[in-house]
Parts: sequence; C-alpha cells; structure tokens
Amino acid sequence: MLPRSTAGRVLLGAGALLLGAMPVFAQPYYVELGTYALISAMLALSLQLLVGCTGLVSLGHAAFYGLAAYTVYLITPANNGVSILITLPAAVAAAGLAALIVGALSLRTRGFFFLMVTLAFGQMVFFIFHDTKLGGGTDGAFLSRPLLSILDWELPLTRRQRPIATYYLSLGLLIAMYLSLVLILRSLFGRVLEGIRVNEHRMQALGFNTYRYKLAAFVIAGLLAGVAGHMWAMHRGFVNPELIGWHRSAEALLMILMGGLTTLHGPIIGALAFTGLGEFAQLITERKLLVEGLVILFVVLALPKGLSGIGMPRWMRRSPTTDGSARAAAEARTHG
Amino acid sequence: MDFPGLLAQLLNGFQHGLLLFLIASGLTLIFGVMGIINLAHGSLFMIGAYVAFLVTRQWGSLWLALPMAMIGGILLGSVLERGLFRYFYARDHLDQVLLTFALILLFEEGRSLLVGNEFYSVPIPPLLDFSVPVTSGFSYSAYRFTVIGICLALAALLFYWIERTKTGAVIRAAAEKPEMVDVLGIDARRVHMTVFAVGTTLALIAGALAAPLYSVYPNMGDGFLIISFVVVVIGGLGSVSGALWSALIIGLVDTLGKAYAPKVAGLAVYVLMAAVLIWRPSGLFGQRT
Amino acid sequence: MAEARAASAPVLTTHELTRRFGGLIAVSNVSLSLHQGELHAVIGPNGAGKTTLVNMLSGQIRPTAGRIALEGREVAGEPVWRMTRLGVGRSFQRTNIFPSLSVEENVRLAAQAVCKLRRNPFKPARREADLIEKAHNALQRVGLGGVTTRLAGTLSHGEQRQLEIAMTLAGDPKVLLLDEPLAGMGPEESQRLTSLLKGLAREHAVLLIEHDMDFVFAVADWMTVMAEGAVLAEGTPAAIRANAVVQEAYLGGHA
Repeated sequence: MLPRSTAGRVLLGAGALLLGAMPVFAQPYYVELGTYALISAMLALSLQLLVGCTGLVSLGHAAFYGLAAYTVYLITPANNGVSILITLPAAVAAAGLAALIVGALSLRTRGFFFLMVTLAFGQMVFFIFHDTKLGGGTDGAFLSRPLLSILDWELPLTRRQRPIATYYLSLGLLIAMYLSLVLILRSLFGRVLEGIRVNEHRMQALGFNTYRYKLAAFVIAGLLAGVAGHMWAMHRGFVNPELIGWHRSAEALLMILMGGLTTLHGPIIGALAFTGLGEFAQLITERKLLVEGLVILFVVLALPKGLSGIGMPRWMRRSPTTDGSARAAAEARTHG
Repeated sequence: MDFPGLLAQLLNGFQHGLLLFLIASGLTLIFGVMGIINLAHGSLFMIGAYVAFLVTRQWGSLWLALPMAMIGGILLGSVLERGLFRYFYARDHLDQVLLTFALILLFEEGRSLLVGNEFYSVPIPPLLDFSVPVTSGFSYSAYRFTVIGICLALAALLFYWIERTKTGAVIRAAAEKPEMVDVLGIDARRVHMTVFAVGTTLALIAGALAAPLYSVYPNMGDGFLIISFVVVVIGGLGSVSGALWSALIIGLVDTLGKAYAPKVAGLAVYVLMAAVLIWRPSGLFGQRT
Repeated sequence: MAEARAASAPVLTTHELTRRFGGLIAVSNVSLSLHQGELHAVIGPNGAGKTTLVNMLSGQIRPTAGRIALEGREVAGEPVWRMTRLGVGRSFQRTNIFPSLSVEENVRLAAQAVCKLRRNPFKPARREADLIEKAHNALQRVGLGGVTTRLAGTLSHGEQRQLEIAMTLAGDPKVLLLDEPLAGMGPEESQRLTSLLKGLAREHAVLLIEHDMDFVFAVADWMTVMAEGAVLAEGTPAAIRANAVVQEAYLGGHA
C-alpha cells in the first residue's frame, strides 16, 4: 500500500509540489478544474480504505459524499455563509453517522450481496433528496459557500482569490487524508484490515471480531468521503442528487482501478487522470459517457493493475511485503 | 379507501411484482451459476422497452415486439456471454462491476444516439385496450391481465426448466456448489451461455411488456435494476423461488405504498430490506449458514 | 473403559453433540472430554465426521444439538472469534496463512487478536514490543525463529505447517485442535513435529485428527474412534488396538 522505495517517495513529493505550484501559473478555469480533481481524489482515496485495503467493494460510497454536501446546504441559511469550522465538522459527522447505520446493516452480508446492499442504501439516500423537497428536489439547490472565518473574523479574500484558497484547502485536506491513511495502515488496526482483505475467515479463527473492524473501516471511509463532499459544496456552491447517485460511486471505483488497487497514491493518480480524461472527452465529443464507457472497457480489459502498474521500472513498484499476489512473493524470493 | 380501488392496487402490485421477478430471476440465475453480477441487467430491461417502443412506432403492433425481444434477447445474451462475460467469471468483483457499468454507459449512449433523450409513451395494443369487469362495481385493464398471464406462463416455464430438465439440474448443482460446474467440463460453457441468454431474454421481455405501462425514458433501467437487487437480497442468493416470493412482496409494498402513502413510499422497500438484513442476513429464502 | 484417564479435570467436554446437513447426519451424539496434559486423538475413515466435529468445537459451524462446555462454561454456538479468545485454538487441515505478510506478522496478528490489554488501535504495529516478543516466542517454539522476516508465502510446505501451529500457539490456547498437522510433510519434518506435539500436549489439552496411524499410536494418550458420525469406541491406544469392533470396522490389518 505504501511506497517503500526512495524513488517512489520522491516522485510523490514532486507530484505534491507540482499540485501546490499549479495555481501560480494556471488560468482560473484550470484552478477550478484542479479543485474538482482534488475533491474526486479525496472521494476515491476514502473508498480505497474499503476496496483496496479491506477488500470491501462498496457501490454506495457517494451517498456519504453527497450527504455531506447536502448537510452544508441544510445548515446554511439562505444568502448567509457559515464558518467552515461549523460546516466541515457537521458535514463529516452526518456522513459518518450515515456510514455507521448503512455499514452496520450491509456488513451483515458479504461479497456481491454487500455490493448490492450498499448500492440499494445509496439509492435510498438518492431518492430522499431526489423525490422530496428537502434539498431542492431533482434540480438541486444553490447555497452560500462556507466561509473561511473564525468567530467574527473572516479571511480577507478577493473574488479572484477565493477559488485559489479553496484549491489549497482541498490540497491540504487531501495530503492530510493521505498521511492519516498511511498511519492507519501501519497501525494495529490497519494490519487487521490487511489480514481481512487477504483471508477474513482466518482472521476470525485467529480471534478477531472482523465485523467490528470492517464497520470501523466503513465509518472512517464515510467520514473521509464527508470531507470530500463538504469540499464539493464549498467549491461549487451547489448541490444536486447526482452527487449521491451510484454513477458517482462507480466513477470512484473506476478511479481506484485506473490508479491501481494496491497503493494509496493510486486513487489520487486515478482521480487526476479520470478528471483530465473527462475534460479531454468534452473537447472532442459531446458524448462524454461514450468515452467514459470505452475507457472503462479498455482499463478493465487491458490494464488490470491500473496506471500505477505500468511504465514503472520493477524496482520502483510497490513493496513486495504489502502485495497480496503470489507473484510478488515469488519476486521477493528471487531477489533474496 | 374503497374496496375496488384496493383491489386494483393489489392487482397492480401483483403485476408489478411479476415483472420484477422476470428481471430479478435472470440476475439471480446468472449470479448463481456464473458468480457474476450484471449491473447492465437493468439496461437489458431498458433495451426491451425501447424495442417495444420502436416496433410499435414503426409497425403499430406490440405483438411483433414480443418475439423480437425474445430473439433479440437470445442473440444479445449469447454474444455478450461469448464475447465478454466469459472472460470475467474468474476476475475480481471490482472488474466485473466496472465492466458491467461500462456496458450501462454504452447502452445508454447507444439508446441516446438511436432514439434520443425524450420521454415516450407506448400505446396499449388496441385489441387489449379495454377493461374486464371483475365484479359489478370493478373492472380491470385487459392489458394488465395479459401481462400477468404472460409473466405467470414464463415463470412456470422457468421453473419447469430448472426443476425438470438436464440443464436445470446443472443450474441447481451450480447454485449450491460452484465447483460442480467445473467438473462438468466442456458442457459448462454451453450451460453458461444458455443461462446468460435466458436471463437476458427474460429482461428484454419484461421491458417490452412494461413499455405501455411505464413509458420509456433514459436511464429507466437504473430504478428497475436497484429494485431487482432488493428483490434478490430479500429472496436469498441464487434462489429462483425466493426471487418469486420476494418480487411479489416488493411489488405489493411498492405499489400499495405509492397509492396510499406516496410521501414515504420510496423508502418502504429499503426499510423492508434493512429489516430482512437484521432478521435474516442471508435472505428470507436463502440457505442459513 | 477400564483404563485410568489423566487425573486432571476436563478442560473441554461435549455432550451428545450433533450436526445435520439437510437430511445427512455428519456428527451424531458425540460425547467426549479433553483433559489438560493429554493428547486425545480422534481417528476414523474419511467422512466419519472428524472435521465437522472440530469445526463445531472451534465455532466454525453451529451444532444442531448438544452441548459444548469449556471449563464448565456453555459455549456451543459461540462465533469462531470468541471461541478463540476463550482459549480454543485450531490449526487447519489445509494450510491457512497470510502468504503476503511476513512470518512475524502472521504470528503477531494471532497474538494481537487475543490480547486482553486495551490498547490504542492506531498505534504503529511495529512498536508493539510485547506482541512481537510473543510472536517470536511462538516461532522459536516451532523452530521458525530464524525466518521471521521472510514472507510467509515463500516458506516451504513443512515450514508453513509449522507457522500454522505457531499462529495457533500465539493465541494462548487452553485447548489445541490440530486437524491433520502432518498432511503433506516429509518424514524428517514429521519427526520434528512429533516431539513438538508431545511437548505441547503437556501444557494444553490437545485434540488431534490424523490419518497416519503409526504416528497416532505413538503420540496419543487417549483415542476416540469415529465412524459415520458416531463414536465407535474410546480408550487408551493399547485398548483401541485390541478392540475387536475397531479392528473390524476400521483398522483392518493395520494394527
């Protein structure tokens, strides 16, 4: 899951610096696009805790993301922004609570059933906002963006600076999320998740109540998706049911698969690539979904290891001790 | 609530449940035998509905659409299985999910290219556009009665196929012990293709039958796909009879809910699913582990 | 049974334990007891219900009827993870390790699973010295002290069987359920395992399932013979060897 080689770390650091420098030379449009890519990266990264780290394929993850965005809308009075110190915790808490309920129920099932149940509960949240007037119904609703303020003091930003501040805030949160996940994976808890991914039955036989660990992972993933959802509301100032729909969940899975299942930086790379691809697709055709569908087919058929699995010399690839495949084990043997 | 109204809603719910069964039984069969989940199953239903729409618009007859949906389903199912799904049985869940998700996008784009994104209604065939008097104060749509009849006949055929034929025996064995099918060797490939084609055909027929009742519109497969998932979860894994009972329950709950408590109706089936997960996580009719 | 049994009180007893699968009775009314310091072998032909019995004792499957008492406490139907934490450890017939983790990590997870101490789950795993030490002790015990940093998947088959036992030991079991620990092992490795098992039997109550009759008769203190899900006979190895019913039904010319 974690880059062990120095070269891998240097590359990641360079990538982070590049992202950090981007607003200095990029046009405002691309700063906005970058923010959206970073938010997608947060969503995909939060889902990776379930998919890549624990082996749980959830198809309802966007529900927590969308719910967090709607929470910002629901607690913000019309035409009157609220401090991010209130909106962020509230949105994250709402997402976490929903994840606790959905997780507690859906983790009673396994495999495809888990997938179907998470999808169904995700759609339930979708229908709550789609079919009722709670959040503007089908068309969605505009909201006043959360303010970067403490008590009565607000960060003085011009209209032009605001999107840049949101960009950096998203970048900072993404890096913080990545680092916390690194720590989580190295912890006792994270090692248990790894064990569950490899062989859940054996973990139970060792004496782990795996349900509790999976539920904890599900809730943490929900909280992190909540961070992403909050940033979406802050970035766009708009919420609609599309945020929650399962197409968004499937897109997050696609980002993970594009970037690679076995690393934490994979989903980030996948999200950036996916966003870039979507942008490119819109330049050449109006049928974005057609391009998306063909790309997925290509990735699934031709790149089962994701983007981070190609083009890298062997010594730069992920460390063998964290890879589940027998081939890595064999590689490790030949290397001593 | 008045009695004829309730009776009409009960029949509507029954008919809705039977259509759901046609979709869900394909899902559960394909999953039970091949261990693959087909998210594009809802799109197959959508294709059936659009076939009905196009055929009716072109030739003015829904009756032509039914055999076309049947032949189309067999062809489409065989091609999809042979050309694509076969290579994904041993792959990761995630790969299967994304493959079938990609198919949804491609089918929807195809639909959009061919027919556009408008909402179309499909006329009920003139032959059946009347009401059958049931009691002195109550009559019911002849078309819906016909749908019920066709669904029941298909369900009976399906059960006969599974319970009484050789292929059926393999299907039953596979649903209980997936490794059984591998032992059967070459024959397994034909069984896989047959099961996939049958599942696809049932979904297309369901779509064609549903078109006059629900109209045709973009992404119409999504809603039916997700309700079918709820049916499969409640019915239990790989259990076709479980799918029948649970489809009827969901059909009634959904229809009665929409008629008598429209504000919370959308949630009713999910609450039901949550209750089943708490009470019996392997489904009402699934094997207890 | 005339022979004297080990003097200690039973650690685990079953009373008329039964498991049906559909119409099939896999285990029927089995009552037996496992004692501290005793190696109790269960033998019987394939399909006699031995593995189903072990699966019930370890919590993998629920008994249809009957009772299981662990140190006097009723535990039948408890989930597998709780059985392990209560002190029922098992090794699997088919090697069941985490091939992509290091040898040490495999065993450390086992120690972590049962540790009673409340600890911060988000502490880095490599700083938990006590768990690592416990893992090393278990590995030393089975003779894998020298390969702790290797990936478990790269061990030889025999070493993986040893690792399997180390994982079971790291869980501080009172009762050890060993399902064919010798499966697929060479003669030399079997010999090493024999002395290990004898040592383990002094500290634990051991239930052993094994097909190698020479090995069973060499190490067992007490034996139960199963056939078609039921207990056919029980007694000391000498008594079993002499038992005419067992001779006819199972051992044939072997003993």
